[in-house]
Amino acid sequence: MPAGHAQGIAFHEEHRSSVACLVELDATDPANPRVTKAVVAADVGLPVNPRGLEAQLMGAVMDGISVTLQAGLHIDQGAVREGSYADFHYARQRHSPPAFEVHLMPPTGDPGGAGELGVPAAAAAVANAYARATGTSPRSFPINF
Amino acid sequence: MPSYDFILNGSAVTVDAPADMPLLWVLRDKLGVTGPKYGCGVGVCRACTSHLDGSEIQPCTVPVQNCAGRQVTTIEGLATGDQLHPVQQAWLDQDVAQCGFCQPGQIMAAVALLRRTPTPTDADIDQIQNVCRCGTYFRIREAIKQAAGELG
Ligand code: FES
Ligand code: FES
Repeated sequence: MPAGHAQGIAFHEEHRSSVACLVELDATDPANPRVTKAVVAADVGLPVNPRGLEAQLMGAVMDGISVTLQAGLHIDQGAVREGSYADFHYARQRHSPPAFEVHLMPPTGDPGGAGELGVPAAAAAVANAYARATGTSPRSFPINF
Repeated sequence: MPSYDFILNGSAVTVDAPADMPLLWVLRDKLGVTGPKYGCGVGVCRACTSHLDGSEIQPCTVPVQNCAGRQVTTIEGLATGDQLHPVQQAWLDQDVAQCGFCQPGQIMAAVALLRRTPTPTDADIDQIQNVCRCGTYFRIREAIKQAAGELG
């Protein structure tokens, strides 16, 4: 990868399902990193609605990007400070990877869960890519908060 | 209470409303047009995105008095009879919607983008600011490219 860019990978299992995520991240401006590509592979035992499962995994990657890089909440005297999408920086189109692949493994048995299956793997893959691209070891998230 | 006339999705309408009532409230609560969604009320989520004289607006930030005599188009006015707009058809072909809440606004933003920029690049598509909390952005991108090919 060019300087300032890196790949990150991560793996996660829950509810009888497993998922792997690879992202490519451009952190040439560390304050405005961009995931440029995401590849997800999932084994959920039995994909009941494959197109829906792909969409769910894509959404999970957007959650992983958001919580790792930029979208958090401040608790101030017991109340959430953020009041709307103006200050809760959930990913917009400009933060989404323009290249995206989802691979579903062939059926192996009973259906597992896939509600938020992809989130931990995506969040960790983004953090790993950021660490590698910037030579830092972030320990507090979101990184830009 | 003042009264305002405008064209809504091709039909003349008249509403009695305070001058500063946001168009979104007029559409949803007075006229029963609920395609434009209420997400924030302050112009940042863009779930309410519609068109005023063919250009994108956020009706939660536009007072009804600014719409007098003008053309308001919501998602309900995009199709021609049973013939879906190419952007709507692309959305179905790509299975874009998840929960669906943001999607009327996303489609209206995409139609406005394609009017300004008939062959948008990824960087042009990145300019769309509508939030999708389900994270459907990649399929939105694919659907816009499909529709651009068909409209072009
Ligand atoms: S309701 Fe959020 S922009 Fe209008
Ligand atoms: S489809 Fe659920 S918010 Fe966009």
